[in-house]
Amino acid sequence: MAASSSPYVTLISNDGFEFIIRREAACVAGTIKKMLDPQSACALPFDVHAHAVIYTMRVTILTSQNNHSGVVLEKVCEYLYYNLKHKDEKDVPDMEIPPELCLELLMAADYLHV
Amino acid sequence: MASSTTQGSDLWSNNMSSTTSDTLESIISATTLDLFTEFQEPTESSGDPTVPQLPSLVASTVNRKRDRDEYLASSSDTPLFSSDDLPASSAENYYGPRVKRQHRRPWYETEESWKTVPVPPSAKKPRMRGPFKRAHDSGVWLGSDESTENEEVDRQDAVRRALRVMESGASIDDDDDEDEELWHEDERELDLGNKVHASNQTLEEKLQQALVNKALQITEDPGGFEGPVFPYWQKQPGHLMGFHLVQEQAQKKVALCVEQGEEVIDLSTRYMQQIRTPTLRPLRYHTKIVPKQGKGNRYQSLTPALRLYLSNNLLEEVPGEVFHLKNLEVLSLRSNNLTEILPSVGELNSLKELNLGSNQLNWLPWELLGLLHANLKKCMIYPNPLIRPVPSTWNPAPSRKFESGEPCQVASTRIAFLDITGASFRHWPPAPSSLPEHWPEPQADDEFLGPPPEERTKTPSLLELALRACKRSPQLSQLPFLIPENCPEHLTKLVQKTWILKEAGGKSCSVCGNEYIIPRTEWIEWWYCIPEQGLRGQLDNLLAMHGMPVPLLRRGCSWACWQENASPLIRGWSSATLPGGLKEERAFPRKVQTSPTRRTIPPSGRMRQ
Repeated sequence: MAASSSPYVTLISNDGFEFIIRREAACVAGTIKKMLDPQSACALPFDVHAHAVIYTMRVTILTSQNNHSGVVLEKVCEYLYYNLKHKDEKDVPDMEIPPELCLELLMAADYLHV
Repeated sequence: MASSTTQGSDLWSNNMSSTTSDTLESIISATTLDLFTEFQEPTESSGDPTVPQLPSLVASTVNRKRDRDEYLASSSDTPLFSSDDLPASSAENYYGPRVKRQHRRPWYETEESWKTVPVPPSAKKPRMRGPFKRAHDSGVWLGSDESTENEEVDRQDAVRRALRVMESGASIDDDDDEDEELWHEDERELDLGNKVHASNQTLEEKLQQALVNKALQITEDPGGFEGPVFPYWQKQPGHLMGFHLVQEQAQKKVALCVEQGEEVIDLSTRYMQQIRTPTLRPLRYHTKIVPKQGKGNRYQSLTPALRLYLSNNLLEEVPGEVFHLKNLEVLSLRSNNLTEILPSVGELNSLKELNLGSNQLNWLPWELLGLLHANLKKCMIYPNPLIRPVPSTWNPAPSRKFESGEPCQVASTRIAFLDITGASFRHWPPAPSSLPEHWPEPQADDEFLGPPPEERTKTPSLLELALRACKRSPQLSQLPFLIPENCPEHLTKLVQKTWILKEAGGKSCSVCGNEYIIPRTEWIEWWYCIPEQGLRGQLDNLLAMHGMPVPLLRRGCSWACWQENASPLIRGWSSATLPGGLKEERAFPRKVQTSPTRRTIPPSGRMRQ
């Protein structure tokens, strides 16, 4: 259970990019939260590593080109921090999303439930 | 040379304005103008034939000073261009703005020429032969010597008659219509492409050519519909015709209305299941046509008061283009298959009459209240399967405000919190739009199962943000086809929904006013807002007094967007923020007022049994 107390989570995209983000940011995404919750049915089998490593394979499968999954995951991580930052604000500015990424992000958001 | 000088002096004495080079020389010698000598150098070599004569400068140089009378008569300069010489252009003769003449036909059919052509049938004047027309042929006219003009006109008439027989199939015995139809037939002739006037073909050849042209027009109709092919000039009921044909007719009708400035657009009873965007798009540019001449109406608004009738069709959704028509004053959607009115209807601020009867509507958009506050005077919503409030949610004491015309709320459902895709959670109240008919009657001890407070944030979800990015994309219509096949199906539906929303102009949150795509909160409020309408209620006397309250669906853009003052349990009253700048007030006083009229109202306990 040492891994669950780690304050950071590593997200790895299919094309090999690793994103190390804070656990509370990662828990904004419903799917990741379930994975990290040891009580949950779909919890990840934690190993002895310090970081919980989540392979976002499903995301990359759904995107049309696997080469770009790192770009998509980067945007997802940006959103997770954006959500954390503006949690209690009333006037939230929209996050910029480039139009070429909108479909990929749509599928990633649906999978990650965020 | 001496004779030439005498001629020059004669000219000088006779008319000073027209000068020759000789007179100029004499002037130069008399008045030694330094400036002028520079210009005079070419005239000294006036023997050179290539040099043109100088323009007359004498009048302006000799009479340099104006007479006093002339000076007082007009303060402006002498006209430089011919158009400056109009009497209306000087300030003294100014009588007002000139009404610009408007012609809706080419120059060769203006005024005198076209006035003579369509003789009213009642006048029975001898027909004007040979009005001025533009010849559309090559310009070569090879008439034989024997053919007179009358014969030519008679031949034209024969062809016209034949054409009329071919097109309408009616008899042409009645001569009264002839003159009227002459006007239309001129247009038809232009369409046919070969002018009868200019061709030397026989009658049979012309008829054959006309038939070929008609056949070409029919085959040029867009294909894609199956079934019997009707000639395009025969009127057929819409359900027998193909989709494209109906759309094309509607498009023609709209184009005609826009061209003629007609403000009533009647597209009713056409059995249309949908109306394409390009069909209604020209109505955006509809402008009123100001009458040609008229006193006192020089300044007229060009804003039309559009009246759009889409009743008696098979529409399942309101065409999105309708919501862009800001000048719409009357909109009739009666007798369609509508199940939902988009909140974009709130954009139609100049709407005065709205007819939504005979549809499949379970609720109306909450934005209707804003319309009622703006201009909407007449709103017909019955018959429709509108949801009724559960009696236990009923507030027993409607305020007197409604009697004075102000809308007031009488009941509301629980607030349903929806997940990021817009679906309701299992254990939370279902979305009112998902289960309209089996509305669960809430219990007083019902536990409110809303989201935990820390999740009630206004931050949009990533799915929402991605959809907003899709909405901004110019290729939105193609995006559903770009989604991979192994993708969940609801994503495709979401993108399609975004497309519909974009066409209708988007929707804004009923609480905070932000634009959104996926609703996150949803509830229905019942309002008394439409007085004196339709059915008398059957629930009790209260309803009989006020008619039925209208269910209005409200949606919020985030889990933080719901009425903060509303308690988790249903209450019949709450302070509502009204759209359109209505005051934020409690719609209901808690105490029953003891006015004489109120005594007929049953006590609250009886109603809440």
